[in-house]
Amino acid sequence: MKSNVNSWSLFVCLLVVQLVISNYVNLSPFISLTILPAMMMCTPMSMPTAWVMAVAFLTGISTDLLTAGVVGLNAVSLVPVAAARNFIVTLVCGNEVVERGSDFNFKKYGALKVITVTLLSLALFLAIYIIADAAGTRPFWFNLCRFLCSLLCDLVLCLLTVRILNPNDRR
Amino acid sequence: MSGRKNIGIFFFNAAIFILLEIAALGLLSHSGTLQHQWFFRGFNAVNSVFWGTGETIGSYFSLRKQNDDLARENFELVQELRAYRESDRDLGSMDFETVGNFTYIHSVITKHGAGKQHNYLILNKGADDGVLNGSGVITPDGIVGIVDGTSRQYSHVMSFQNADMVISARIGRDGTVGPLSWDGISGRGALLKEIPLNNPFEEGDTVYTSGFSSLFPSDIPLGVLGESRIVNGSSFEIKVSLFRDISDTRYATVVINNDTEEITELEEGVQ
Repeated sequence: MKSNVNSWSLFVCLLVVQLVISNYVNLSPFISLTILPAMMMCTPMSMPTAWVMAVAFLTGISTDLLTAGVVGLNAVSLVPVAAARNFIVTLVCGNEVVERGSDFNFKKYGALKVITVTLLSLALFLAIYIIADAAGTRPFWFNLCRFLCSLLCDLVLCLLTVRILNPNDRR
Repeated sequence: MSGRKNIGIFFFNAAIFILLEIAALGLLSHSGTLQHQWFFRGFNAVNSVFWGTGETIGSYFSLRKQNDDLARENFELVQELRAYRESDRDLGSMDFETVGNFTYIHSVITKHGAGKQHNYLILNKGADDGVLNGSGVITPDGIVGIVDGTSRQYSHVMSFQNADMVISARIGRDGTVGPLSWDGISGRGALLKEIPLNNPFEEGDTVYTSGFSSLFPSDIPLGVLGESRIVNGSSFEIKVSLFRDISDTRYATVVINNDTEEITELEEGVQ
């Protein structure tokens, strides 16, 4: 119980971090910094997918409302990540993670699998985010550059997030 | 049992996903001008594909009706044109089925007889519709034949593509008159005969009905002149390329000369 409260407190703190990043950190038009996909992937595996999607929706809306952006952009990108969470984890780590309800972490599954899961979820989030943000007004090469640059930068941030959020890795 | 449960969970999650995505897309469309326009372009494109496909399928199945409607409209327009040519009276008071001395009845060719030297047709209008034996049958660009028998609802027509059929034709609107008959070979081939050697004409001249026959109105375009040859050293026989092949025709107009009875009585009286 205490562990859960701690985890959710960390989740809210990381949400605040995301708000700070979105409002005050602007590296380049080609880089969109986000840690939201990692936050979604680190929600407890025992939590039903419907709940995870609801959390994703609320997290996305909160981020959109509290940043100077288009409302709905993060929500529309994050909900598919939440929906695909079990699929991605099963694909990379096998069925036992989902069936047992155990969280994936660096200790148990190794860095490579965690990086792969994070990369896939990040790619899904950024693809939808960048396309919806551009809304057909940007050329393909611009969106592709933005996707690749954001993917590289956000992968580092997301791996840090996974490390922070996962209780087994914090011990 | 667990299989059914998993399927149920899957559909429940899918429903929640769709609901949340629609809500997020709604917010996105509402708050961003670019995204709003982008969504509408996308929706219109998807709608046009679905509606366009539906319309294409629907219009394919309604082609017959559309064809019939167009033929009817064409008939009415041709009647108006005839009325303009015949008279300058107020067209609002005119009955477009009767123009000049002729009454016109729109009909459909229900059966084609083709491939023989003596061909016949069946029309879907008969005595009940006012069709008389000996009435001419035309299209806006050709002669179809002559009615040689009627029942209550149908008419039997001797086709122009019949070795026994000869009509009176004229080169140009005021040129030489001669008999025109089917060449017996092709659907659009005819021969204009007995054109005097001293009468000028050129290849490409248009051939019209002469109006000397009481069966057909004058100035119906029939075809254009082709090659010619001298027959028996006394007259030209000219090939005519007809504008219309009767075997491809679906709609025709029966023309009834309103003065037929009077002309027949006059001819019988003289004889």
